[in-house]
Amino acid sequence: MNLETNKLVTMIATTLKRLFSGFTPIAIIFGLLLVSLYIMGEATQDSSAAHDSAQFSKMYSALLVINATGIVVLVGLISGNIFRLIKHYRQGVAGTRLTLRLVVFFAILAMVPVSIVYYFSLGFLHQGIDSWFDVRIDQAMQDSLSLSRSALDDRMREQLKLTGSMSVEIADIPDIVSAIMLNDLRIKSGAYELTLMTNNRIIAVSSEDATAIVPNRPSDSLLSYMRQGRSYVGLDPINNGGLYIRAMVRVPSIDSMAEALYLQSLFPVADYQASLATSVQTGYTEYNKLVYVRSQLKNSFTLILTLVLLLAVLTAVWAAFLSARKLAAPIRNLAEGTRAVAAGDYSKRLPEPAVNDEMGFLVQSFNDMTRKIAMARDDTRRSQREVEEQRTYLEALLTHLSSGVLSLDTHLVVRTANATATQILGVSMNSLISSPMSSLGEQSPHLNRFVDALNPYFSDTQQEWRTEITIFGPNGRQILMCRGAALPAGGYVIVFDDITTLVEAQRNAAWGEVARRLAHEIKNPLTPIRLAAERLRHKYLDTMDVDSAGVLDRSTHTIVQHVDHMKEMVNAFSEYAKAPQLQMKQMDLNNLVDEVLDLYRGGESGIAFKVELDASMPGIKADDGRIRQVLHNLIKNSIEALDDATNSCISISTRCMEEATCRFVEIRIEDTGSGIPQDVLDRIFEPYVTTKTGGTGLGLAIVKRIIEEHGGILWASNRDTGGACFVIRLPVTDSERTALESVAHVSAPTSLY
Amino acid sequence: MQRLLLKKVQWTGLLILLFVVVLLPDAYSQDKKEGFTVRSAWTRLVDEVYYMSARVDYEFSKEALEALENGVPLDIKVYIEVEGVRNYMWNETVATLVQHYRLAYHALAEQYIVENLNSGTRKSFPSRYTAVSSMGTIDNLPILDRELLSSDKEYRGKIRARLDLESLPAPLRPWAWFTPSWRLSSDWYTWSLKP
Repeated sequence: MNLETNKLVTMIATTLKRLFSGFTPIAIIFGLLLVSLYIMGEATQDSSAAHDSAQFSKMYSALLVINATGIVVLVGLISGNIFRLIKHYRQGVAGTRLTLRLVVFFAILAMVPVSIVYYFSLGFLHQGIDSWFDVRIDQAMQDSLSLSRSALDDRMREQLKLTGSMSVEIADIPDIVSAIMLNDLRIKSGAYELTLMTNNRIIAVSSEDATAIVPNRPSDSLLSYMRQGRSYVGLDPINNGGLYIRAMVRVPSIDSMAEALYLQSLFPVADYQASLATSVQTGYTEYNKLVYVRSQLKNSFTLILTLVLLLAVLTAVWAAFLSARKLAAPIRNLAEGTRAVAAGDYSKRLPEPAVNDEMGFLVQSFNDMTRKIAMARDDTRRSQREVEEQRTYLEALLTHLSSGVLSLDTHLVVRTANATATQILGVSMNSLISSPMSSLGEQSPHLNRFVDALNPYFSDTQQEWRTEITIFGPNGRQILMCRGAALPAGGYVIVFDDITTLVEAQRNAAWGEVARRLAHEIKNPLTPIRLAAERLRHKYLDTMDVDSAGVLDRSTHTIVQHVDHMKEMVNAFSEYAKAPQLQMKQMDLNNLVDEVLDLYRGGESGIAFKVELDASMPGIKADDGRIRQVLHNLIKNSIEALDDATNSCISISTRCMEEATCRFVEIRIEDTGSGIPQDVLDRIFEPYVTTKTGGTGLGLAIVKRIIEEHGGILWASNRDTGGACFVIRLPVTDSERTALESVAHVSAPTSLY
Repeated sequence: MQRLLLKKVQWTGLLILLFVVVLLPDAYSQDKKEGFTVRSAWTRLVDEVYYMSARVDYEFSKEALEALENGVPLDIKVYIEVEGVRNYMWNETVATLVQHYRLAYHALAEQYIVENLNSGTRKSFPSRYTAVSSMGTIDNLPILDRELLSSDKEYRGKIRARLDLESLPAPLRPWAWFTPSWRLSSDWYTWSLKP
């Protein structure tokens, strides 16, 4: 029920709003004012008609007030509109300029023709009114009046005479008889009414109108005129405009002392004559009246015409405002809509005009456009969000990946890198995003090797590749297993793992197994072989002749010697494979070098030792026994290489170096020997690679292994001046570094360190 | 601030001017003794009915007389009211009566005609003076039954006469409204009415 009532109220409100917002109110006001002006015009024209018949005339003043009010209201409305327009113009509201232009245009369009019509109408009106009046007509009217009067004058004189004679007849007749006498006389004379009276009293009356009780009394002024002893005759327009001749004479009396008696007679003017006379009278009066009100009549018509002009112009201006606003509304909406779209608000929908014209089509198109833009934007946002989610997902995946991932574009500029990459490479990769990969080496020189090792693959057309790179950085020696691939969209992705520990463990396991087998398969039979050879010698040496004994002795001796050699070799190998636990402790490397060199100085070999020890060497944490072994092996190696050389010299130097965040100590052992042949230089640290005839081929392999166990790096090269050069680098692990490393370990527990 | 003050002064000036234009001509016309005056009015109780008599002086202005001579009839309305006097409130109107007269000139008969539009009686007079004085004489006009008045209250009669501009020809009316010499009216004349 309530819903229905609400609906009804809404419907009525909408109807009323529509009724009073559009052109309807203008049309109604215009119509009403026009009707009232028409009535006013009629009323003005009525002023020439008879006084009572002018029905419109009575409404004249009210209509004038209504019209004036209407015009004032219109002026008010228009002023309001103008003020609003000016305000909007100053505020720069969209569509105001167009509205202003349209209003001015419409107003001029309406005003010019109306003003022209007004001007000419006014001229015609004044001329028209003036043409009604003419001196000749004036004279004619005057003459017709005189003519009427003179026509009636004769009759009036007759009636006066007749009245005089009747007065003689009723003279000195008693009052009682006079009434009868009067009636006779009236009938005989054809009078309408006869009255016999004194100054203040009516004695007898005889009237044609039986219903008339009160006689038509002469006025006091006439009675006083009569008292002067004169007779009176005149026209009298008594009741209902009927024209009568009133004659009054004094009744002659013998008794001069008696009260004066007067006889008054009313004769009707003959019908034909009366109507003519009335017509003349009416015409004359109306004409005179018109002449009198002429200027006012002109003013009145001018006033009405002006009101019509004002009404027309004001209504036109108002209509101009409304239509301009209606025309400009969709344009204003469009402008606002465009601004909104420019500001990024695509949700704006313009109200579509009721009329389905080009403007409606434009608005509809605009709405379609914004809707589509909004949809496209939403789609873009959605896909952006999806991409973002994908990226976040990928990032999360990459972060939790134990491998470092690095992606480069076609110009080798770093695009992405995960946290593990930062951990493995030891540099903040986030700061290197969008910079070329070579800057990796600039920031951390130890990564130059990494960059250099990868570079050849980028110029290659190879789709996928893998390589192992060993770098020496703050974390010590690292073996990185790198896999790379060219991306379909251009660029590369590199995935790398720190496999240092893995490789070591694998190798340890492999060598351990080899050592165990050697011990089991080779070392075990060696003792019985040696024992058997010694027993043969012992048992048959004395029983043989000299020659045979010599052969047996040499043979058994060779067997024993080779078995010992083999034993030694197997022991060395198992030592290499065993990999005992390192006993790490703080030590001074310079001292150790000195101690080791002391054993070789002053020997028979005549080799000169050149020692350069860096006094500012920091203490390092290492197993001094194993490092000592390394030094022994390398020095022995150099001495052996210098065996048949002259001016042989071994130079040993230590120094502390710092590259970027990486601090390490370097031991350099150089000799002046023949150097390492090029074909074995790459494999010199592998087991069983040796240039010596009697060597086991495990010395350098063990050295390398010890250095690697210490997290250091070792390489060999030939000097330009001849001779070999071995370089050992060991990381400095001071307390600060240790602390840093422990933090790194905590933050990346899944890494492969 | 100064501009505001100037504006205020201008408005005040305009108001004063308006006041002078509207009110001064009235005062001026009164100086010329134009207008209507109720000389006297009284009532008489006859057979339980109050009859009123009054004498009104009609001094027409030159413009009004000119209009009359040119055939424009002049309508005069005489307003008669009887009201009960109340001390603390406005007076209670007991009876209202309007006597409507028309004064016209009959050119053919050369007579001035006074017509009482209430009763329909017409009287013609050879001169304007007699016509006007006849119109100004109200004799024994029954206005009220005594029954309508209560004896314990005080009553008074009011009378005024006025030229009815609305009965003038339409073109004359707007001009007449704004011309003081056309705005002819008497003041209220009051007399005591004893129940």
